[in-house]
Amino acid sequence: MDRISGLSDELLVKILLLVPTKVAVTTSILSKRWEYLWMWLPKLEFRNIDCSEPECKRLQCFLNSNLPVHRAPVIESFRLDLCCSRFKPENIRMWVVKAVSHCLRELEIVYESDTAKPIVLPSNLYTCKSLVVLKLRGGIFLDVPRMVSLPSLKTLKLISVIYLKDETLQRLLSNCPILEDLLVELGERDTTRKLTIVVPSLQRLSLDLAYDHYHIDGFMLLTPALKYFKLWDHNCDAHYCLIESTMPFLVEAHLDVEIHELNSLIGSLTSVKRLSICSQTIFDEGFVFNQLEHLEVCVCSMLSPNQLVQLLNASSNLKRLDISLMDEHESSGMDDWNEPTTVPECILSSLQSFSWSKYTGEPHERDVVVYILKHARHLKTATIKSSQSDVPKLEMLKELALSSRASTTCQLVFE
Amino acid sequence: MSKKMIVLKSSEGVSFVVEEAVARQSKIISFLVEEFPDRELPLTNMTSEILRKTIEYCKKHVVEDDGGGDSSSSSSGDLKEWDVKFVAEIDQPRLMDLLMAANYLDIPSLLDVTCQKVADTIAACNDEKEIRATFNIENDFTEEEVEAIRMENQYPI
Repeated sequence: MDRISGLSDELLVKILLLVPTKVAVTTSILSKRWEYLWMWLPKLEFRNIDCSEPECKRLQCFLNSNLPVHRAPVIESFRLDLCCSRFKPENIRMWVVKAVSHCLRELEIVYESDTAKPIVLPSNLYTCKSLVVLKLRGGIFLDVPRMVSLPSLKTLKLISVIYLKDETLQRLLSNCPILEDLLVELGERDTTRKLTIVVPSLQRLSLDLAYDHYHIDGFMLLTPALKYFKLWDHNCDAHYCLIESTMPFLVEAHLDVEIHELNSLIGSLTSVKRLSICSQTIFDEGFVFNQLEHLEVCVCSMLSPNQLVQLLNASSNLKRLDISLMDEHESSGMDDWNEPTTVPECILSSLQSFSWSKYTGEPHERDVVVYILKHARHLKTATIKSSQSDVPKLEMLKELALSSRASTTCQLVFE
Repeated sequence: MSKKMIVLKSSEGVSFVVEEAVARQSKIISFLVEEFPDRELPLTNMTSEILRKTIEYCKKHVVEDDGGGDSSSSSSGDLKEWDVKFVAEIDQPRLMDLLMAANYLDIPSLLDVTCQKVADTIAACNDEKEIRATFNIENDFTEEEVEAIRMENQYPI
């Protein structure tokens, strides 16, 4: 026998795990030694290469006949990436039933199809004891049974799925006792109006309320163990945003929001070390960010300069300030910047690093930079990044290089 | 303090004197050294050439016991690059020998890189014929059997 075929089954399966599932299946035709090896694979990933009818039919037939006889006792991960409506939802459901019956640890289904009947997941998925990771995206309908229990689930990502009713998500979450990481993106086909997330164990939460989502009344969070929070909320309807617990362990928060009442949200974020924020609404004075070391603000609309000053005043230990432009945002410059009468404490005593990306060199922007250079005694680096070629770099450099600096050791870097 | 050395003997009877810390990356050797200290270890199913290669890998991957610092992350990138080069330079038959040596001596990271190289070779083939040719695999199916499997596994082939 040749060398490779002489390896143990265990080693050959280890090798086949490192090639795409499709290639692993191809090896069944090499020789008798290889015929059934791929059926021991604990990780399976299938996708349709194109949306042609023969291709989809082939994949459907293959999974229908092979999954029921798959030999691996444990399927660690099962991924389906189907991008068209030619698959029958009941078939997909059956494949999930089969995968779950192999002590499934990780399930990912992507079903990108706007028109198709959504997939209804089988009820055995909702009581799968071994499931650690669940990622669902697209036309997938969640009807969570009363008996739901996912005792091992740590990571849950739900992108543009469809919930039966407002309570569906919370019912799913209510029996995930060790859930740590949750991502929810509402999609346009969903009609959830009230979103409730109550998860005592949750450490990371990303919440995305799309522009095009149906009318929403608001969301409520009760997640006292949270360490990381990301909120993207540009839903055009006025809606509530309730945070029902303090979050003393929160370290990092990213807010990209257009909500009218920011105080409840800001009030629960005061323990963060890192904050990135883009919001038109100004929150009330009186919030204190004692732990905040790294602040990133977006120049698009947020930088009503008052708000920048307010944030700086509230963050007496700030070490790093980044002024940038978030993805897909448009710069609105730094109009009506007035030097604050008292210099914020952090500029005088703690700020070490300052950067401005997408700097245009407009007078208002320049004034802010000059102001910071003039007062920041402990500044080590100031980095100005400019992508606009119409700004004469040399002039910008000269202008800023000649301005007075409180810190003699401060390096001015242009990129 | 001088480093403790041990002796590994290849199938041809050639002795290799190796630092114990280097050889201990093999879980088998680690176990044997504890059970039989001060003895040379005969590795009767490994040729000198493969043993030399294995030692070369272990020398590169030995972790110096000096506490470590922030430099570890950048060196892990270098190490990965080194690994890729290391297996790229080995021809097919020797790669199989090395893979088996890694398996026999229980050196998980060497087993991983050799398996990855074999997997990459398989994945780079255009069809089953090319895989057979690359690894000298004899097709012991009849025409009818091949057809039957093709029908069954219609999707990928």
